[in-house]
Order: sequence, then structure tokens, then C-alpha cells
Amino acid sequence: MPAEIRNQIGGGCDGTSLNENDRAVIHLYAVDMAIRYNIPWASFQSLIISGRGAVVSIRYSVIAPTKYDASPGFTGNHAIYVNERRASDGAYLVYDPLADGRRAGIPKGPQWWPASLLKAAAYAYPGTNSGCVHASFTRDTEV
Amino acid sequence: MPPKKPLPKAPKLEAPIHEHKKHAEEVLAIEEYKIKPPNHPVIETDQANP
Repeated sequence: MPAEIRNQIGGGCDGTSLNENDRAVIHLYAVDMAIRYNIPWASFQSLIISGRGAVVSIRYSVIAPTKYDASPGFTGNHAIYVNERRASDGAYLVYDPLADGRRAGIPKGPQWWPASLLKAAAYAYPGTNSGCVHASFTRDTEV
Repeated sequence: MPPKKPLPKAPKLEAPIHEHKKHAEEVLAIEEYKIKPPNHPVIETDQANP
């Protein structure tokens, strides 16, 4: 995690929460995200279609066996940014911070993830209600 | 305790954009979605392989 963000949430090397990340981006970029827990998948899709982006909590063990795996061996809790949904096939444009192409075989930059993969990874985040996801949403950028 | 209001139903994916914008506003206003679940785990990315 970049030091700029780590400094905003009090240092340390433990994992972070959506709240801590939100606090950091408010301070650094004056961007206030709307954090919501256990949003039904259908509503999540609707919020993305409405013109909002979202940081989504996922379990990386679901991503690990796929071509989208950007950290071989990692299967823990993670968060990715979803920018938009493609109407033609329902895929989501995902910015995975691990996908930096740091070596051969590691994806680089945003990838179009199948909706089924994103949904399965979000459902698998520990403590999430059945059929729901945890996410923090941007404002509507298509007003 | 008064009965809970039914949660708004999401529009179909192919619905007009204004229906999705209306639904988004309704969903974001619901208080129960703002409640952080107990024992909510943290994001562990820092423990990922370099």
C-alpha cells in the first residue's frame, strides 16, 4: 500500500477496511465514498449502471485459479475497483491494484472480468450475507 | 417495533438509465446498508506475494 495512504490511516502493516480507505481518500483527494454493506447483487449492478464506480470487497481464492490472478499464491481478502459494466456481455471493468505487470504472467492494468467471476468473489468475502456484496460507491459521474 | 419497509427492487439491467439512477438513490438512502457487520475482516492485500 502506498505510504501516502498508510500515513492517513495511522501506519502499521495490518490489513485495512473500507472505512480506513475512505478516510484516506477523503483526506488525500477530497473524494467521499458511500460505504454500504450487504447490498443485494441486483442493486449493486444497478448502481454501477447508474453511473457510479465502486470499491468491492472480494475473496482472492476465487480469482486465484483464473487468468485474472495477479498475485499467485495469495488467496486472502482483497478489494478491487469496478468502473463500469459492458452491456454487450455483462462484463465489468475491474482495476485490481495487484495487476501491475511486475513480472511475466501478471496482468497489467484494468481487465474485463465476467460478471459471474466478480459476483462469486464478492459473495465469498467472509461475513457477507447470501447474495450480497460489500462496496463503497463513488458519486454518479455520468450526471 | 414498526415493520421494516420492503427493500426497493432493482430495475431490469436493460431498463432506462433514469430508473437505475432512481434505484441507486433509494438504495444509498437505506440505513440498514450502512451498518457495518460484526467481525468484519480487513483487506489483506499487504500479505500478498510480491
